Amino acid sequence: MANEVEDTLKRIQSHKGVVGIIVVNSEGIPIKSTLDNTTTVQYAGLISSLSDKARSVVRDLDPSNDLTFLRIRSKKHEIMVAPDKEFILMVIQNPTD
Amino acid sequence: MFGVKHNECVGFESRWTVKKVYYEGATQTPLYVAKNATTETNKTEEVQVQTDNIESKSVEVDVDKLAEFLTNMYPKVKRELDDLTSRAFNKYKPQTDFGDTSRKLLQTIEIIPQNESSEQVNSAKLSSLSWNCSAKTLAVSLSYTHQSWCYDPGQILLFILDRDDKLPVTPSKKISCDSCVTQLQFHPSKPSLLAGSTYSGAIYLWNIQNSEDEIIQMKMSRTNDVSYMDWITLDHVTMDIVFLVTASLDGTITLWRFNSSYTCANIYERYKIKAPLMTERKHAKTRKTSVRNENGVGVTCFDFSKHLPDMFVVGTEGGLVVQCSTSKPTKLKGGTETDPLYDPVYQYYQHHEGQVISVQFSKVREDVFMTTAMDLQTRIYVIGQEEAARVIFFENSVNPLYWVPNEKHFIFGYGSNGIIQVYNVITGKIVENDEIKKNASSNLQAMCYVNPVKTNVIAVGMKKGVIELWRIPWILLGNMHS
Repeated sequence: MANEVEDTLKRIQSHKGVVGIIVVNSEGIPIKSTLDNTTTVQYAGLISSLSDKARSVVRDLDPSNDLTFLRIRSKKHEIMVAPDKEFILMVIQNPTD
Repeated sequence: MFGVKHNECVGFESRWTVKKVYYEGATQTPLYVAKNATTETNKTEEVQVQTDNIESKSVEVDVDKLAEFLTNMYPKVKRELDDLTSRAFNKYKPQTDFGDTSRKLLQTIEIIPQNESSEQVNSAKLSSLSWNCSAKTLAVSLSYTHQSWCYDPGQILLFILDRDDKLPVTPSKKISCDSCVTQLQFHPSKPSLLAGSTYSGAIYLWNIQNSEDEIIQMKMSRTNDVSYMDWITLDHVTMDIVFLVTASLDGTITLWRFNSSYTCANIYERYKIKAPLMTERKHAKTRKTSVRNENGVGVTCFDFSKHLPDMFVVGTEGGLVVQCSTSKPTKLKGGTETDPLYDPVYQYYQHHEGQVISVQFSKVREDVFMTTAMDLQTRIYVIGQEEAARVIFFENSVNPLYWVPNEKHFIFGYGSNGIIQVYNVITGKIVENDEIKKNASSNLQAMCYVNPVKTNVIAVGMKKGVIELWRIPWILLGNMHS
């Protein structure tokens, strides 16, 4: 199973423009990362809290709804967040046109 | 039983009372002196000693669940990664200035008096300008026309925006230099660091926060004139690895790497642009001059891709447009073991008939770049296609053109009629501007620099020594296109 995890991460990393991948648990603690420690901790803390906030916004608007994917496009790069009950997957990508 | 006893009488001589004599004598005590002496206490340092082994809290991960999560999420992420045709942000235009939507010439400052006619004033020109990353300070350099060696003192003028976002008429600070300053570039993330090159071939790094005596952070000497310089970063996420790149007319491009405190710099890599041996120019055969001489390889400008940090494009004085790569370049003769020279050339593009004065990658599209040359042409190239995808012709003079921030279809530049003109890349035509009519001036050589924070504000530096501050509502262009 450990190999399967690594393989999936490698597959995502091999995509064009992917700068880094971070997987955090439900407490916001990074479990897997391809970035350096400082960047990982910063991204994990900030993005997981943003993801929680986004999820609560979606649920407040419609209690039967839920957040499935979050895509943040900035001038420098793009952050894709795939939240789940126990884990959050973050993929940082250079913007492509 | 009783007896009588007589005792002899004793007399006392009478005396005058004698006055007691008192002597008052003050005791001499030493003069009281108070002294304040600080006591030197020993410096103490607390060193925490770890005596017990800390049990590191390892995060327990259910690998099976993680694998299942990743397997489920991968198709979703893949779909998003592959979704290059997303139209989610097509109509999204970042708008910072909602109040004013008209094009405006905000301010004009004469840094060289235009009415005086002394010889020195006539030969003076504005050579370069740069905003710092906090977008508050504009640096302008002055130089003079030289026949041979430069004996003129170089000068850099720093203008700091006031609360109303206007530049002061007189510079806020001046930096003197031993020779004319030809190029200036502020550091991309440290607002106080300013790099510049002089006519004598020296490269300076100034710290404009320091006092006048300590303003020079460091000086690097080079023998060749620096024709262009820029800062690049190889890591756009952390903005940590920053290089200063200088180009010179001998065809070399040098990457300078600094230490963390910016007090020492070393050459990281040196590249040399070589002219193509067999040119594909169709009418070159009819000319007598050799192709290599004609395609002078003195580098006049370059730009690194914002998307692929190892890719850069170079423009030369002979009109060559060359795509280069920093990864796996070929080693060239002429370098040393400690200072090797590499050939970074990857592909030659259809070249100009005159000196290339500007080359710029699009910040929005990773595979598009633009060149402007003295043959009165601006060309839009697509990476991999040798021929230009679009050519825009000019009638009179030509000034460098720049990409409109956050736009892929518009470019702008300072026109010969004294206003900022916007061109549509698709049609190749000027976007009409009816709002501003300005008296035409002949052959205005000017460079533009977009404020890095307020992208609507553009500083224009004219070689004759005039700075103009413009406000252009780019959002109107976006609406026009959509």
